[in-house]
Amino acid sequence: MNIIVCVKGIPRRLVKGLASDSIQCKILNPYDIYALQQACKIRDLFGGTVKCVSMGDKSIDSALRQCVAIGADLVYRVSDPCFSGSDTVATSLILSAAIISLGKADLIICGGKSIDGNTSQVGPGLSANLSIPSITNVSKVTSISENTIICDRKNNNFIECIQSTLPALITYNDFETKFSPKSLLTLNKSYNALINVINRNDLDLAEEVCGLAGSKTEVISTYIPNVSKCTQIIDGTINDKSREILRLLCSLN
Amino acid sequence: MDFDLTKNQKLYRDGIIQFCKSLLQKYDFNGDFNRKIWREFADFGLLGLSIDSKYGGLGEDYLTSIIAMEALGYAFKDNGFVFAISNHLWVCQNLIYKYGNENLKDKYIKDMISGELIGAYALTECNAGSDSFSIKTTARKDNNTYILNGSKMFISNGPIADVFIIIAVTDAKSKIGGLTAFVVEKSFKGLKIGNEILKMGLHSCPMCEIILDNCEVPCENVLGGVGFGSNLINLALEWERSFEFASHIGVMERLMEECIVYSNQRVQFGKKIKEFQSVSNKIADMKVSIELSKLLLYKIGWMKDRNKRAFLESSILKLFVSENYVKTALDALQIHGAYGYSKEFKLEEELRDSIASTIYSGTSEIQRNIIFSMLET
Repeated sequence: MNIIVCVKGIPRRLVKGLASDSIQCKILNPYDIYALQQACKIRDLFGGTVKCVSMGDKSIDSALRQCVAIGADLVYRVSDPCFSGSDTVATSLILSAAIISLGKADLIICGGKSIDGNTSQVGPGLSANLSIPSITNVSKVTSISENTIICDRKNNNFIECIQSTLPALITYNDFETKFSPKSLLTLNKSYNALINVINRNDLDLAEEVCGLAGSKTEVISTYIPNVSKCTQIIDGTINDKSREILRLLCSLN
Repeated sequence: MDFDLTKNQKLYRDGIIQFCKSLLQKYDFNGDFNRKIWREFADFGLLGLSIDSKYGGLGEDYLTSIIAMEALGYAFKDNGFVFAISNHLWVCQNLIYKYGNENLKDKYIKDMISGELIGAYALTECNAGSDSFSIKTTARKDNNTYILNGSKMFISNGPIADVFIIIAVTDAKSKIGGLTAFVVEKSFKGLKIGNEILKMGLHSCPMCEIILDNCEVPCENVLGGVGFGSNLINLALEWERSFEFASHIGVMERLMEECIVYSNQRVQFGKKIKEFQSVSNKIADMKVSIELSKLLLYKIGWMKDRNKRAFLESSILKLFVSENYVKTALDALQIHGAYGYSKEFKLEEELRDSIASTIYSGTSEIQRNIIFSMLET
């Protein structure tokens, strides 16, 4: 079973309880930590390899070494100056090309979302580019055989049991904020782990489909909205209160 | 001298702390020994840190192993369980690894690292505690077997162990060369595990009596050679007094940090209690004892990596760490006041656990005798 896990490095300040951005290196997105842990469990049960792929510059290398400590066999940084500014469309395209370059993958696993971008689009984008089925919001993989995978998928208040052919892509909706190495051996390996670098030329991608040029969207600005709380007590009978609430709601439009 | 930890040592220390924290969240701890948790530690690689990779170990040096044990004591809040690991590692597995022949190493080391076999060390008897060389358990040779008779008392890990190192008298007439060490499996005919001995602390490390009733041990299970027992006792004590006490220094550090947090939160008479010298002085003393303990501990690790004997140093360390461990636990309880006295804060449990350290591996009184005897007076 050859498994590829797509991971993302995020700024440390986004995870509560960690030191601030005074440290340059990025850390693993918590949803990807969980996804990688599950991938390693599947590999340990069925054999095969786990490869981690991440798009970014050298600041994500420490996050990739964390992947080795968690149990990944090989790690790849997809890195090129012209990838910078990629939105989820461009990112999905670049990562798909990287995945294809790594050879046959039986299962591709992603975290449900990244806590900085929060779009949940890359996973489904990858499956579209690779023309493979995807199952999102997986809570548990219940069965894997040579050609099929069966997962439990959380859907509001109920669980769906979904079967798909392999190769497939799944995204997990759980996360893990605390990084814990699989063993002292993997920790030791992570210290000197080779970070394989894949650039645009390795993927034979045109500049026009990468970075800002290849993006359908652009982040113009990021800001924290002003949220103010204002309390108003509405008195009267139930009818009076209902009328007043309706009036207030209509006035917001 | 370079006092900095290497990057690898920092990596191991931080990794062990993170692993221990994840275990504490995963399992309920009710004071009983838990074999599943043992397996987790084995799978993590902690049980093979200083053993060659040929046997499935990580082949790290002793100084790195000491730092790992310190991190274990700091992060894994079940002192009894840590004690069980220490006993297994330093006075069973390590003794077989260092002083056993290839046959014994091939037979036991791999399974001890993988978590299949748990080890224990059986020297003490009812009437031979501090005076450990006056043990009465005998071993008589009968063709290719030794027949052991006697009993051992207060054996840590006894109820859970699969493999024991047992010291017995093979030549009652000889003073130095009359003792021999044997590797005895739980399944050997004539070995009986007695009832568990209930203790005031370290509950996750069960203790019992071992009875040897014509226990048959194959000759190939002699450890280090016939008559090597006296040497092995002294060597075992050296390992025990240094490597087992590494984790206690970690506990002291944890207790100190808890006191710092509490003294920053607790307000009395309009100010945080850390601003009262009677509180801050206690915490300062904790820091002093931790730092001094580390210096001597790391020196011993350095010596062991160079195959040097450290009998005096380990005795000094044991005495200093054990007495300051008890003082730290008592001061931590005192700083927390009535909360410290309550069971909920678990500081009374820490104090009860700490007291054993002044007794096992040779009491504080014995350590003072040893230290004085080794001075040129």
